[in-house]
Formats: sequence, structure tokens, C-alpha cells
Amino acid sequence: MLRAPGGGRMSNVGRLTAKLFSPEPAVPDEHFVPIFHKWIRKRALGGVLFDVADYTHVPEGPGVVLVGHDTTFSLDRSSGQFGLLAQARRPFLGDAVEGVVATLEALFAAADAIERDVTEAGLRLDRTRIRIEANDRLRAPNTDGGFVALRLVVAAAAQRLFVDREIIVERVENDRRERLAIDVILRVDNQSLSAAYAALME
Amino acid sequence: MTKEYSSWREALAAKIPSAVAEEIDLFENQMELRKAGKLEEKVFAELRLRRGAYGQRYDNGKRYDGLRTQEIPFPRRGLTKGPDTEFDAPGMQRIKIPFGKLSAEQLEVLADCAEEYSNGILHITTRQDVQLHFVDIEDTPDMHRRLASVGITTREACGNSVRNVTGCPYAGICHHEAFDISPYANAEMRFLLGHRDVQDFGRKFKIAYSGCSENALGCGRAMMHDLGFVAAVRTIDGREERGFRVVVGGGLGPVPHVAKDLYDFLPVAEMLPISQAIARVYARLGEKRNRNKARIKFLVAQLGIDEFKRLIEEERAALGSEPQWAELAPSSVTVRESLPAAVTDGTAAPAAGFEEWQRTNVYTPRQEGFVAVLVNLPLGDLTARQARRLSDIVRTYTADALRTTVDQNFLLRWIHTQDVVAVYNALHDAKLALNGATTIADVTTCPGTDTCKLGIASSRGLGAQLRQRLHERALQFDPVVKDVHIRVSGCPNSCGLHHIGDIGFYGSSRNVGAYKVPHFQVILGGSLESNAANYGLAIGAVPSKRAPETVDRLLGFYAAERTIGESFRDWVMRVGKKTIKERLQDLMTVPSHDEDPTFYVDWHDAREYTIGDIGVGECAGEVVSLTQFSLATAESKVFNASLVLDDPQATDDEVLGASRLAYGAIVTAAQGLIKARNPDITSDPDTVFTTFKGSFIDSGLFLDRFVGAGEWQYYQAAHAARGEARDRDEARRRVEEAQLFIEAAHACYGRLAAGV
Repeated sequence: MLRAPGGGRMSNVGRLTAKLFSPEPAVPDEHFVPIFHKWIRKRALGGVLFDVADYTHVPEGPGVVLVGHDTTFSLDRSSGQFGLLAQARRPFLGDAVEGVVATLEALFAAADAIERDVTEAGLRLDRTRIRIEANDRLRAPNTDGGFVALRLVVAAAAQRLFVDREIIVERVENDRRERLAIDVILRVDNQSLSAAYAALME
Repeated sequence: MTKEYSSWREALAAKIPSAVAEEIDLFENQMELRKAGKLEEKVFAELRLRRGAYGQRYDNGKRYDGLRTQEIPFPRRGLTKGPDTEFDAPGMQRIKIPFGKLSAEQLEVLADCAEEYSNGILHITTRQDVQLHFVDIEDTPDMHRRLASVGITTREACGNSVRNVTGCPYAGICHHEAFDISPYANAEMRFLLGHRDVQDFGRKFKIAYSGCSENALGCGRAMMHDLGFVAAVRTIDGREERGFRVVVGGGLGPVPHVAKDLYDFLPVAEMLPISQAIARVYARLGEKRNRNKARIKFLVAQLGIDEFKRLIEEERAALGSEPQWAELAPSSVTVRESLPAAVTDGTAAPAAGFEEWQRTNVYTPRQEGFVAVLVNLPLGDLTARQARRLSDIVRTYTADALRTTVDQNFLLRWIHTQDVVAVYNALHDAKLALNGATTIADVTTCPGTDTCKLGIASSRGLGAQLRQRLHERALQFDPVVKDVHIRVSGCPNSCGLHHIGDIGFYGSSRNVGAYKVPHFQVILGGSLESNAANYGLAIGAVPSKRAPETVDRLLGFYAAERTIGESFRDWVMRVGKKTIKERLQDLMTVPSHDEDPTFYVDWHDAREYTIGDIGVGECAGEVVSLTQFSLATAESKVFNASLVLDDPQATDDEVLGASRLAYGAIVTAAQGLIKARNPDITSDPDTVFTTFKGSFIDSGLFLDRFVGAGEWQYYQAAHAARGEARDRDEARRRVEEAQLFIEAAHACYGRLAAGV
């Protein structure tokens, strides 16, 4: 079990959402509907996916939504920023870090798949910044204490997933009634860049 | 430092009335019993429906993927929460908002629940409820607690019960009303919520309050309800008296009925007693087996209004006096929900679009110096973030003066005229300043195939398409057509209120060659006037993809042919449906699949169209008898008691409490059996014991060859001891005996139901 500094138990932060941002796509939202239906038909992404919902009529809403049992994906425009959002639909019962890892893995798998399928639009999701929101006001309230606990869990998860990156975790200032939000910024460190350059030269 | 809690139950304990908290705990236990296979799926289905937890499309675990129907591999496949309803499938949570009145705090909690348990969208319904979709049933108890902590209930939001009591959102500020119906609607809701006389209906029961009889806004809609109250004032000996015109037996659905007049004038003091009498007659005489004939409209039609009225008056005369009639007697004063003074100096520059918005979304109430503002929600939807922004606006500019409307919008009331620009700017910032509220561009739809199990065609898909087209053409400002209302349902059940639209659509399917094609029946001739007393009739079905063109053509004919001041309905009646149908005939054809395959795919979808995803609706739920409810409650009590005894840390007081709870379970089960013959039996333990002995023991009904005698002894012993136990062992024995008594009660009820 992971231990917080001082030996405390790593907090269970409950449900999460995780989002990768992108410039507005060149295709209309309807373009994503058949892609999500195809994913359901082909049982893509590994989890249980079973419905597509269209909220494109709602300003700054979840857009086209792919509903799954564990994770729901949406082409989200909350706060006016387009992106792919993964929402873990149920609280993690086990290790909190495992839960974050699972959500981020689901998000990145969906990101790869959507970029592959939206060929003509040239959709590119920025993988250097992940917006994570704690979707559980009981376990991870939008307070300073909640931030400390969430940062610990998310940083541990990010270290596990992005071993060659410099990881910066920043709190997103927002209305305290909103969900506790953090940005995970991933930077390639100089050593990794050098290694990549060297590999190219060989 | 803020105290940390491990559960919402603990965190909100001080904010929820104990009786409400117990109800929610009970539901949570019933869910555990269902998961353990100890509660029949049919009974649990009705129990969850009565907590507002409704089924949703694909919850039978099957979905057509465009090529074939696939099983959805839910993890606990086979565990159900109702007949043919997978436990793991998400559902819809309906939340009652009586007469639409909401506070800023309540809206914030709804927003939190939408984010954490749904997909961040709040949906406003045509009955002023809020609905959240894609909700996991296991999240519902915590959601109910959070809602209850701010005074919101989901109780009896679905199922065979009294649904949300709706009321004109303009009540108290309307120019035409006889008086403000808000306090009366509130009293009715509080009186009937959970009342013993509304627990044994064969179908749902909808009540509406209207402030006036001839309004053109159509905000009360009493004539399309099971029971409608229309405010009226009469003068006797120079003294004004308040009362209601009372109508009964209205309803839409596949077989729409316009309500019949029960009373021209019913004094307000009789409102609750007569409601109770109607409920009792409906429970006693309404159809229970055939759900298609079980609404009260069929009973009224079958008996005739005169005989129905005679029965009501007979029932009224037999009713004893209920203390609640007086306790809930409403105050007659309209509450001013305004701030003492304007917030701004009125000099703010308006954001773009203010004038257009003001033309369609601002209502001038009868109180000078104020306005009311409609917040136009596309298809009734808004995000949780928008809801929080709206709660800020409500707080800043009013004293909690917010209502949901029957047109799936919000109405902000009691805004100082001086603040209207500031309110617009705030709404504009929140992306909530869409103009065209309640005009032609504000299309009403039900959920349809998006989420409803009964949906045949995509009503929301068509609604979104129509809204966009009509807005683009700015028809919401066209004086000729702006007041034409379009209403779309996904099936004939009329949740989108297609019968009362000037132009209505309901989803249907047609076979074309080897394919099925989504269609919409076109309904013309309905209107909102006179409390929605005019229903339209179908003239024929057009393919779903031709529905927008159908609207265009109808509006074109109307604009060209109308006489001065002629309404759309009047034009339809003058020209005649036969002629109109002939003019639409070419739009009723479908190109071949090779020619245009898009006709074979519905709006909002990418799959080839099918009706294979239609499931069994839960509008009515299963008919579950009062006895079955009581037995389920008894099971929950025993379950709770056993949980206490399983806890080695339980204190002596807690153990004693468990023993008493087990006795309570026996009483509840016995009371349930008695209810099969006497629904009015009280819960007093002595009365239940004596009645049970007389009706079930002395008659031998409870006693079978193998069961009954021993269980009766357990009851006698527990009754003599009043559930007390000397120690943990005796408490455990009481729990086990209570479980056996409940088993015997189930067997007895089985014999009764089978007529043995």
C-alpha cells in the first residue's frame, strides 16, 4: 500500500475525470457518432461500451458521449475548451493510485483510437497536459486538504505511467463549488531528449 | 478544520429528517436484499420506481449495433433490478420539483449530483421534474440523501403513485390568474406524498394546478391531467370566496382523454378531502390487471362522470377528519420572492443579442417594477456548471425565485426591472441567454430513443434539428409563425405532448422493402388554450428525415393562407386535415435504400434503423400489492436487525433495538396480510395483533399443513414481550423467528392470491 508522507494511508479519492485538450476539430460533432458506434460494435478499448448520447445542442457541454460501464468518454467542451474526456463512472474500491492509472490508461487508449479514426480531420490531442478532476465531493473535496491528497495520488500514478517525463502537478484555480481540478503537465527531460536524439543519429 | 466523513449518510445525518433518512436506508437495504436474491425482482422494481429510479434503454442487456443484436457484457449478467432489467445497466433518476419551485441551494445540489452520478447534464421535463440519465442504481441512495438534505424528494417520482404535482410557473405574477395556486399545489403535494390512500393504484396519477381557465400561455394544462385544479373566485353575499374548478380523468398517451368537470366550484377547504376521496375510489375501483386500461380516465369513462361524482361524494362523506387537512391549509398570501431593492443602477451596457432576447424571453408580471425571465434550455438540458451559474444569478437578483416550467425551461421571477440587463449579461456569460423561449424555435421533446426503452424514433434528434433550422431562419421573431408550437414524442405515449402541439410528431416505424424506416406521425389541431383542452389528430406519417421539410411546408401554407389573426389551429380546422394531408402526400414517400440510405438511419444515430431495441416500459411499473410492499418492508427490517446482531461490537442497546425491530417486522408482515382485505388497517401493534388473530388465525387462513402454527406462536411470544429480549441470544432468536413468520406470510399471501 502506498503511504503518504508521514506514514498516513493514501487517500481514496473516489471517482475521477481526466481530459486531454485539442484545438477545435475541423469536422462537425456528428462525425464522431459513427466512430463511437463502431467502437461499441467492435468492442474496442477493452471495456464494456454500450451507448452513444448526443448533447451537442448544449453550449460547453459534453458533446457526443460514448457511454461505458466503467468509463464514459466524451468530446467535451466544458469551460470552452475542446478535448477528449474520460469519466470513471464508479469509485475505485482498491488502491487509489491503481484507479487513477486505470482512468489515464483508458483516456490514452481512447485518444489513440480517436486520432486514428478521425483521419481527415487531423485531430491532435495534446498529451503534455492532462486535466484531472476529482468527481467525488465527499472523498476529494475542493479544499486545500483535498488538493494535497489528490496531488499525492495523481503524482504517484503519473510517475508509474510516464517514467521518462518530468511531471508537474498544478492546482487549477476555480470556484470552490466546482470539482477539485488539477493539471498534470508532462515534460520530456533533457536526458530523454538526448537519448532520443542519439537513437535518431544511429 | 473541517470534519471528515466516510459516507454521505454520516455527513448529512443532521440535515435529513429522521423519517426520510429511514426511508432511504430502507431502500438501500432493499437493494442489498435484491442483490442477495432475497427480494423478488418485480417487487424491487416497483420499490425503486417509487424512489424515482427508472429503467433506461438497453437495460435488458441487449443492443442492436447496426448489424446484429449484441449482448452487453455487464459484469453481473443475470443479476436483475426488475423483470428483464440488468442490475448493472444504468438508469434514469427522476427528481420531483413540486410546482417547479427550486431554490439556488437545491439547484447546486442537483448540479453536484448530475456531475458525480450522471454525465453532468440536468434535464428538465414537461412535468417540471429534473431527470438525470445513465445513473448507477447503487449510487441512488447517496444521491437521495444529498437531495433530501436540501428538501428535495424522489419519492413516488415514478411507479403507480402520485407523480410530481405541477403548477403554473407564472403563479403569483400572472395577469390572468384568479389567485396564486402555489401554496395550494404545495399543500396537495405534502398531503399526498406517501399517504396511505395513494399506495394501491393500478397506474400513475398526475395532478396539475392552473391559475386561470382561459390562458393562452397554456401553463397549467389541467385538462390533460388525471386530476386538475383551476383557480376560481366566487362572490357570495358580497364576500369573495376562493375555490377551484375541479376536472378529472384527463390524460394524453396513446388514447388521449380531455378531463371532465367534477366541480364547477369547490371551496379550497375541500381540496384535500376531495383529493383523498378520489384517490380512495381510484384505488378501490381502478383497473389493476390490464395496465393499458388502468389510468383513472378509463374509470371515469366507464362509470360516467355523474356516477363517478356520486361515488366521490359518498367516499367524502365516509372520510373521518384528517388533522392534515387543517395543518396544511395554505396561506392565501402570495409570497414576494424579490429582493428589497434593485441590485444594479440599471446603467450596464447589454451584451450582444439583448434586444432579441428581450422580445421573446422577458415577461412583464402584474406587479409593477418587476420582470420575469425565461431561461431557454435547448431540449430541456443544461450542464452542471451552467446550473451553478444560474444559482448565482438566482441568489444575486432574487430571493430564490426560480421555477422549472412545463416547457422544459426555467423561469426567473421577481427581478427588478432595473436589473434586467445585468441578468441578461450574467445569463449570456453562462451561455444561458438563448432567445426564442416558448416560441416556434423552442421545440419540446421527450427523451425518445436516446434513453427511453419505449422510444421508436429519435424525438430529441428531430427536436435538435428543428430547433437549429428554426433559429437559423429567425422564425422565433416572425410575427406570423412565432407562436406555433412544435412538440415531438418518440412513441405514441405522448411524453413530448404531441397532442397539444400546433404541430405534433410521434415516432413510428414503417417497413420499406426489407428495411425498417423511422417515421413520425404528423398531428395537427392541438393547442394549449383553455388549459390544453384541444387535442390534435394524426394525418399520416412522414419519414423521419422529411419531418423538417414537413414543418417548412406547413408553415409556408399557413403563412400564405391565414386570415388576419387566425391561429394555426384555426387555419388547420378551416382548411381541413384532408386537404392538408393531400398537400403533404409527396413527403410521405421513402426513396429506396439504394437511392438514399440516409432515410434508413435515424437522427442522432449512425446505425441502420431497427425497432429491435424497444423494451418494456416502466411508466407504470408492475402492479405490486400493498401486501407485497409490506412484506418487502418486513424483510428489510429483519435484514437490518440481523446486521446489528452480526456486529460483535454492537452495544446492549443496539441488540435490544434489533430485537424490537424484528418484532416490528412481524407486525408489518401481519399488517400486510390484513391489507389484502382491509387497506385501512392501522399500524398499531395491538390492533394488528387482534385483527390478525380474528382474520387469519381463527379462520385458519394463515395455517397450512406445514407452516403457520409455529410462526403464529412466534408472533404471540414476540407480541407478549413487545419485542424485548433479555440478551443477544434471545434477540437472535427473535430475528430468526421473524424471518420464519415472514416466510409463512409469503406462503399465506401466495394462497390468497391464487384464490386457494
